[in-house]
Amino acid sequence: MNILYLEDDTEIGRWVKGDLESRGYTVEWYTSGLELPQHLEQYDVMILDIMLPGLDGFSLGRRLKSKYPQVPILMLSARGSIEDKLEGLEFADDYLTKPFHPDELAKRVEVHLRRYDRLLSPVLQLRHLEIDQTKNSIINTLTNEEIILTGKQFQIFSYFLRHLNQILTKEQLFEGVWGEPYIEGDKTLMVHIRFLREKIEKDPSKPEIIETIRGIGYRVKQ
Amino acid sequence: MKWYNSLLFKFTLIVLAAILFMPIAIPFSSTVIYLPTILLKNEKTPYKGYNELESMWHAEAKKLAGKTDEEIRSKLEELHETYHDSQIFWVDRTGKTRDAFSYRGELPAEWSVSYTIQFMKDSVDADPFTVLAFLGEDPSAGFMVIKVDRILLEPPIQRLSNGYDYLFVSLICVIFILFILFSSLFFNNIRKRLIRLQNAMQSRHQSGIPLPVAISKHDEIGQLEESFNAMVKELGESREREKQEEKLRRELISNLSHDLRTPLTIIRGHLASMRQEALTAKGKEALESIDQRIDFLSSLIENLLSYTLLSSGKYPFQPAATEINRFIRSSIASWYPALEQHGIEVVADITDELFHWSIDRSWMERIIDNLLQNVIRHAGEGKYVKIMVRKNQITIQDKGKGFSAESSQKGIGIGMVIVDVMVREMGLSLEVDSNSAGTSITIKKGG
Repeated sequence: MNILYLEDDTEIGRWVKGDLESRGYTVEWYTSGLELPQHLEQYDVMILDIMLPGLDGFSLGRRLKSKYPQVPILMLSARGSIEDKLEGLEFADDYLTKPFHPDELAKRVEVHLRRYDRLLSPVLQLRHLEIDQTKNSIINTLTNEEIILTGKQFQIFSYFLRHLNQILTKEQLFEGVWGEPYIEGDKTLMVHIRFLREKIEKDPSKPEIIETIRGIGYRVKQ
Repeated sequence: MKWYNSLLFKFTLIVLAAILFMPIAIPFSSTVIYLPTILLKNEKTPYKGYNELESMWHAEAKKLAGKTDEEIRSKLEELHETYHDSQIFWVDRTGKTRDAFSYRGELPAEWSVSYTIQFMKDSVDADPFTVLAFLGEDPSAGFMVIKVDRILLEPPIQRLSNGYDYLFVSLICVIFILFILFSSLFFNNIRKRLIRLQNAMQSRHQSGIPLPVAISKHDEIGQLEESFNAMVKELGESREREKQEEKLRRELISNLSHDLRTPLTIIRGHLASMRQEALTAKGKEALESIDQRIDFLSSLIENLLSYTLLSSGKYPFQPAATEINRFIRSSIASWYPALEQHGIEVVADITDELFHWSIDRSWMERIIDNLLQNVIRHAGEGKYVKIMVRKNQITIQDKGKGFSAESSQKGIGIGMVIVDVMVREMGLSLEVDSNSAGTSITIKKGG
C-alpha cells in the first residue's frame, strides 16, 4: 500500500513516515506540493497537511481529488477550527487534527482503504469466517462449508466489511444499503440482520460477528 | 440649498397666503362681483329715485291745471308708457275715479272721506311707493296717483344684490377649496417623498445594506436623502472593514491554533519513539501520562479558541431542523470506540419516535464532544455513561465522583462554559445535577 504524504514540518514528517512504515505501508513524503511528481496513480491514500509552502493543502487536495477521485484523501492539520474542517471535508474523506494519535491515523487510513476497496488483503479472517473479497465467498471454517447469502444480506454484510470496526447507525446502514432515507421505526433492517445472523453466527442468539450496540446500531469488529 | 428652495419657505408662503387670504380675498371677490353692476348704473331706466319720482309727479300735476279730462287722460297715458311697470289713476273734483292704468287693486267709483283717509294711511311707507299730487296744485281740482314698486326706485346694485350674494359666497368657497387643494398637494408631495425614503431604508439589498436613493429636489428632504446616501455608503464601508477584520481575526486564530498544535504533535512524535526504547514500568506510566496531557492540552486549545470565537460572535449560529435521535446516535457512534477503550459502559436510550430540533449541528456536535470528553476525563472511575433522548430533552448521565469531588484532572471549566454558552444561544436550557454518586446533565428544549 502506497501512501503519499505531504508535511512541511520535518520532525513530524519523519515521525509519521516512520510510524506508518512500521505498520507495513510504503510512504513517500514530500515537504511541498511543488515537488510532487506528475503522475500519482500509484498511491492508495493521500495524507495532506494544510499549511504548506507554496500551494496550500486545500487547493492541492481539491486538485488531487478531481484528478484521482478514487484515491482517499486525509487531511492532517493543526488547524482545528470548524471552518477549516468544513472546508477540508468538502473534498477530503477525513480530517484529523494535530496532535493526533499515531494509532488513530493508522486506523483511519485502514478505514479509507477498505472503503475504497483498496484492501490490505483479499482474504479476511473474521472469527470462524474466512471471507475472500475478490471471489465474494464466505467460508465457515468450522464446517468448511460456504455460506450463501441473499442479495440484500450480501449487500449488508459487505457494507459492514467496508466499514470494518466502525459503528454503523441504523440510518447509515439502511441508507448505505437501500439508498433510501431511513424512516424511524422501520423494522426492515432488523429483520434482515436477524436472517443474516442466522446464517453467519455460530449462535445467532449470542452474535459475535455482528455486534449490537444498543440504541445506536451495529458493528463488525475484526 | 437656495433659501427659496426650502420647504420652510414654501410652507411660509402657504401660511402667509392663508393669513392674507381673508382681507384680500373678500374685497377681491366683491370687486369681481360688483364691478359689472356698478358699471350697470347707467342703464336706461326712467326711475332715478324716490325724490326724483315725487318731484316729477308734482311737476306733471302742476302742468295739468285746468286741462280737460281728455287732455289729462292722454297725458297720464303718456306718462304710464314712459314709466312702465307703474300703476296710475286719477280722481276728479267730484271724487269719482277716472282713468286707471294697470292698477292692480280695487278702486271705488266714488271716494268717500273715510276711504280717502284709509287709502292715504295704507300708502304711507308701503310698497309699492305711492305719490299723490293735486292737479294744478289745487286740492279741489282732483288728484292723480302713481304707484311704483320700491325695488324699481332703489339704486341698481340693490336690485341685483339677491342673485349676487350667492355668487359672492360661492366665489369665496372656490377660493377656500383652492387653498385647501394647494396645501394638501404640498403636503402630499412631502409625504410621498418621505415614504419613498422610508421604503428605501427598509428594503435591504443582498448585502443587508439599503441602496442609495436618487436625490429628488434640493430642499430639506433632499438634504435628508443626501445624508441617507452618505450613511449607506459609510455603512457599506464599515461592513467591508468588519469583514476584513473578521477575516484577519479568523486567520490569526487559525494560525495560533496551528502554532500551538504543531509542537504538541512533535512532542507526541518523540513520545512515540521513546516508547520503542526499553523502559521501566514507571517510565511507561510517565509516558502514558504525558500522552494524556497532550490530548488534554489539545482539547484545551480547541476550546479556548472556540470560546474566543464564540464570545466575539465570530462562531455563527446557523440553525437547521435536525432529527435529534439520528444526530445523537451518530455522535455516540463516533465516540463509542474512545469510551470503549476507557472501559466505559455506554447505554444509549433513544426512543424510536422522531424528534426534530432546530439546532446548529456543528454547535451541538461540540456540546456532545465536550460533555463526553468530560465523562472520559473526569468520570472514568464510574465506568458508565447513559445517553437518553426524549421528546424535549437529552440527558447524559455518568457515575463519576461529580464536579465537586477532586477529580484526577482539573479544567472542567472552559469546556463547560462553551457548552453553557452554546446551549443558551440555541434557545435551549442546561440542567446540571452533580453529586458524589454521579453527574447528570440535561439539555432541554423549550420552556
